[in-house]
Amino acid sequence: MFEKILVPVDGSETMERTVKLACDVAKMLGGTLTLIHIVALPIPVDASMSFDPTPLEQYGKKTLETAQKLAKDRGCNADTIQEVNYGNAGHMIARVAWDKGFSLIVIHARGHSKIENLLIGSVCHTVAHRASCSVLIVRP
Amino acid sequence: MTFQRVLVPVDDSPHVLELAQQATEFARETGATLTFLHVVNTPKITSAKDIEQQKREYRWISDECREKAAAQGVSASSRVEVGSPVETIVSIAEREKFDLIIMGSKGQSHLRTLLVGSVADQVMEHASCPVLLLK
Repeated sequence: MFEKILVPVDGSETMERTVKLACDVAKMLGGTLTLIHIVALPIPVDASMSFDPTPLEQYGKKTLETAQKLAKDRGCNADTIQEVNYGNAGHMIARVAWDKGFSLIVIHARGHSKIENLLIGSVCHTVAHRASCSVLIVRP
Repeated sequence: MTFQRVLVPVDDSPHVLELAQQATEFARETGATLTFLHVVNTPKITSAKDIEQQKREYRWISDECREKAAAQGVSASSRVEVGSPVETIVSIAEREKFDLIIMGSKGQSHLRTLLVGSVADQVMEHASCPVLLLK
């Protein structure tokens, strides 16, 4: 039913549950799994400002490796994508899903958001609203 | 983690049978059972007699979804409630321990530029179980 499944990962505590659930869905519905890490850079206000994405890229690579291993232990061989760009993480996820023809995005309601009473984080909210494909929202 | 009991809110919008078909396909592939739930939105000042009448009037929608699912070998039930759609969907899912809510992205909303309707948006926000938003 969902041939290509995209799973945004962010290294938060909730990532493990999301990756495992995505694997289960992929196995049940016969889909392939792709893990994506987004480095969303702030748009510089002034041309002279620059932002070195290297530490975030490294964090991202490590996160993708961890997530890939989680998926493998759960019986899924997952591809990985790292997307580094200026903009909003939610929009970037939606755009990658559109450009690469994903049919489902599996995303956690809240990843790094520390605000406890936030029911749904901003990235998840943006993805749910902007994605042109189906979205499975996973809860803690 | 499996999805055994799936709640599928439906309404009288034009795409409801398409949504029901997708939910049926999901159930066929996962072995889940479906509950098609129609929440009839009514203002608070309604007599008990009117409520029963509205339930009977709107029953055909969830019944039709159930029949089509059953014809494809999927175990499904049909249910009508009266009240606020979001609150009813969320509380039923929680109280009756559904594993998943499958929602269409747009039901009552008619704006072409609106990608996700207000009921789906709020259910997604408040549900305590996973929500599959189908587009």
